[in-house]
Amino acid sequence: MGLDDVQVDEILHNQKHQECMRAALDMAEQALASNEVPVGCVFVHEGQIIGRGMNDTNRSLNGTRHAEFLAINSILDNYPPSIFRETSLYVTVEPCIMCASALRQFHIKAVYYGCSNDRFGGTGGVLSIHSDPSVDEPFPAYGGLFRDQAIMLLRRFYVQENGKAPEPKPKKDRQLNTGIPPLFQQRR
Amino acid sequence: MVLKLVEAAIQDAAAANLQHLRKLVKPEHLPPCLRRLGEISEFHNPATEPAGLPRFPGNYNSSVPNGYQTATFIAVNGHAEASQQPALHYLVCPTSVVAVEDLHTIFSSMEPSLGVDFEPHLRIIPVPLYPPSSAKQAKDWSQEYWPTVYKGGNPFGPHPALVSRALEDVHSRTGRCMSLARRAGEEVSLAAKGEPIGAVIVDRSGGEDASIIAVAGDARWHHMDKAEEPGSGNVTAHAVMRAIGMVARKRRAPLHKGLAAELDSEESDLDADRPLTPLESDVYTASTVARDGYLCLDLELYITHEPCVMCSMAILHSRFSRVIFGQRMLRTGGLTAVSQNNSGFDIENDDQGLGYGLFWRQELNWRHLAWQWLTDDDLQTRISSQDVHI
Repeated sequence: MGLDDVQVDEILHNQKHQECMRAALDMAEQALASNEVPVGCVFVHEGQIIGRGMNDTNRSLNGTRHAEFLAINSILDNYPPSIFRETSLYVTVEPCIMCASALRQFHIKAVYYGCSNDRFGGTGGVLSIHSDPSVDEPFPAYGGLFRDQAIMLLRRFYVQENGKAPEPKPKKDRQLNTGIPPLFQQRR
Repeated sequence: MVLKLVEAAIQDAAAANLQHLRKLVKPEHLPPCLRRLGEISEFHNPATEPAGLPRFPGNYNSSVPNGYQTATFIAVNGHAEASQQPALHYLVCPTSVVAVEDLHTIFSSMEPSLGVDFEPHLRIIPVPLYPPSSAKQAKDWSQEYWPTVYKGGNPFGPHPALVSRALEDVHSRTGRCMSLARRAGEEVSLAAKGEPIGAVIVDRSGGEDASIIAVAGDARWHHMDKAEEPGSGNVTAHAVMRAIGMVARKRRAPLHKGLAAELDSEESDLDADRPLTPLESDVYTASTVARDGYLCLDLELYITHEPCVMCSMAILHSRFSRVIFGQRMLRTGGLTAVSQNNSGFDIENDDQGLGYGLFWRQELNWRHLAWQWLTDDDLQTRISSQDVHI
């Protein structure tokens, strides 16, 4: 799935892709406002947003309620699963291993994400579930679209304290770091 | 004394995982390949050989057999002639921590405190990067690389003692839980809601009285016609995802209403998390869960087949402690670590497993124990196509 720098640049500056990712960032903002890890996504079919999702693990007490799953469930209320074959996902953070496998089983057309996820990313961050040998067709995943905004949303969340953690860590002295390290290697 | 000075000078040396490698070794305990070199004075001496790094004869860039990785380490042989003491061999640290040149500088700066007779000999040797997983392996490595100690641990999985204790505990209820999981799968299959796959979640926090708190069958074909749908149906309604959803739903249920009343109410944010069959409903309403419980921490999952990659990661996200599955799924299962021929997965020819091992991976933030339950075929619902995602 090798892309040269020009192709990557085209994706990052394409107005349509940017519009979709802005909609995903709006969902992440909503997640932050409701005390969820700020990850948001939209699914786009033939230029139209057919589903939106934001992280919902804290409210639902369910660690699998990631943004992608909420959007997928709302889409399946109105469309058959085969719609995903012609649908692309825009998500602020690289899909995790669980979501990457779900997307591949749904035969998603393509995934565009903001920042990569080095804790449990499934499209290159930790594993490459999107492209590994599998009974399902691989899907392309492109990272870096509004990466800075995606990272800043996460940082704004993580400077807060997590009262629900078994052992909450005091973070009152933490300050929001606004410097974003350069991306040396484009993740794909 | 040399030791202390070196350790003080190289702060990161302690950070390197050296637990399985002996630090100080007498000449007679060196592996033959290193001993031979010592006798013919091939240790690198910076005073006489200022240029070039010592080269260990042989394949020090290659890995130890069986795919075990090696790291290159610097070994020092400090020899004080006047003292008549046998020269001890000291394993310093990985070459990634300090360059050989820097180490020479450190030694020369120490010279006044070491005495004039001390001449350090440095060389780079390969050593096993991870601890051995058996006493025999430690012995073999000690002969071939560097004296290695087996401490009963297993770098590639949970500690054997931990596994056997837990196995004793789950053994008594595995048969019962697996037959319930099988029934759950048969019910959804008969109702054409899903594949014959079922999952059972057990709360063992009560000690002896482990209780079953959720039962879910697969529901990928719920609200759709399998014959008319080209794909794999609703992937998010796999049995494991539904069972996890039911536990969360029970934890959220308002205290005053009771679980049965909550189910009757119109409020349904996710259809797939609601019980669909009589068996699922009975278990859902019959038992309660701790409301202050965190996700699926301390819970056990029993499932008729090996979960797919999505469900395996969902299990990790949910912080389960133990998983027992029935039929292994060689082409879709995410739990099993071994890919039997060790050459990776080839979708066209290989039926040896994907090898993800998504129950115990160092790089992921949760690990749990996992077993395959081997039993007679008549106690299992086998799925013939290995391409089905569980």
